[in-house]
Amino acid sequence: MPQILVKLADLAVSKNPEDLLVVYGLGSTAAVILYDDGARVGGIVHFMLPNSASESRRATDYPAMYADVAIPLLVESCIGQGARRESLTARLAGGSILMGQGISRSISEGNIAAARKILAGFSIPLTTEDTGGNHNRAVRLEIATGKTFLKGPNGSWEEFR
Amino acid sequence: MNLDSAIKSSMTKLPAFPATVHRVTSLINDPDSSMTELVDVIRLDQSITANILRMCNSAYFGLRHKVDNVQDAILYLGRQNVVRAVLAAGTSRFFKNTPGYETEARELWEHAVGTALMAQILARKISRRDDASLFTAAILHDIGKIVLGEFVKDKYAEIKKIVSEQSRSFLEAEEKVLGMNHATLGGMIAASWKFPEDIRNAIAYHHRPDRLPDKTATMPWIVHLADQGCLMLGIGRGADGLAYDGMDGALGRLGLSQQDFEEALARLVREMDTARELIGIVQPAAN
Repeated sequence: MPQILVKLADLAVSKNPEDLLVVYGLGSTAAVILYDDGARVGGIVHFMLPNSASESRRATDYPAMYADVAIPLLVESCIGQGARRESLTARLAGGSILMGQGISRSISEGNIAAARKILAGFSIPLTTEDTGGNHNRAVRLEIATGKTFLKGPNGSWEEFR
Repeated sequence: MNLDSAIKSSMTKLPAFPATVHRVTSLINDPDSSMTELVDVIRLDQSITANILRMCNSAYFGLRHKVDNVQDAILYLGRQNVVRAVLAAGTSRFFKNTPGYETEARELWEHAVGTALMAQILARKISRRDDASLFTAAILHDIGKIVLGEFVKDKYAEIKKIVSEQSRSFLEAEEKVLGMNHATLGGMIAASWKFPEDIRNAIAYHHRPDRLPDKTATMPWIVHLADQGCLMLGIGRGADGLAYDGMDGALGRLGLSQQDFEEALARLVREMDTARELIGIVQPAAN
């Protein structure tokens, strides 16, 4: 099965049933996974900061860097591949926090809060989330089935539902 | 043999630090040194010479002409870049798989380079002189893991239990179970390699710069923040994850704002993209 790696500050969308989209190395960063069960179209975005307000230039160079630009772009790209907005469902993973630190906490929690708010704005239901803690995560999405898997602190892939 | 002596004995088995790197650093810092001296020193080390030429011709430095000798490499790169190239070429040989942290050599090397780049980005933001010492300390900050890895592996369940059940940092758990943490051990390795005190301290205190008796030093705080930035972005992942304390007030101590830090993270992503080739050229040990 062709595996498509979604790098940091990047996104991938597919309707090819053979594709498997994968994100490794979710730290304080977060991934939003969208899937349309009817159209069998899905995508993942891996963003790292909540808000592009002060960095408009980078938001153009790396559109998937900031949640406020990245998530709308993912929704648009899924629709571009044939998904219907009303049929999309979302999953959210990431937002690990370094112990006892203000900067990491505000970025991690900011990422998660921004994702929830933006998805709510699109009326896309967030069906599952796995966030917080102080471990790395990885996620993958099977385009054929919409099945999503998560790798957490114990190092094994488990279905994410 | 008790655990402490076992760790120290394992440390003494590390290969010597390449003398070329120290000689190049001292020549670069000596205003009276000549180009010929520098070229002669570098040329003595074949692997460093080969790596410098390959790095020099990589997209990272973006030179228009192909460089095929050390003298031209120095002219094109400039002295400070030569130090970085020599450091990267000379240190990568120590990066091996670290079993206890479940980190592959490549991940650890990527984390080392990422931390060194982030340290430079932060140094520029606080208008600190962007010097070779900071780059050295940052690229070597986790060198203790190379030795401690096998011991962490043996006691992994115990360490992990302390982290998850007592909400202690991975560093504290190492100390509790092994009587030593990877930062302190890294400082000892740097001492055995004859690095100066500022570099040793920045390595030994990179997780707890607040514990350093010298309150005026900024290098440990910069390395601390740079390391944390990489952990947050998942640049070089290990089983220890993000289970480390972030020092409150680290930004304020350096006169940086939250905004500055976020900008630095964004810049790091771009620099890592251009440095990827560099990371690939200087491959860590393949065991």
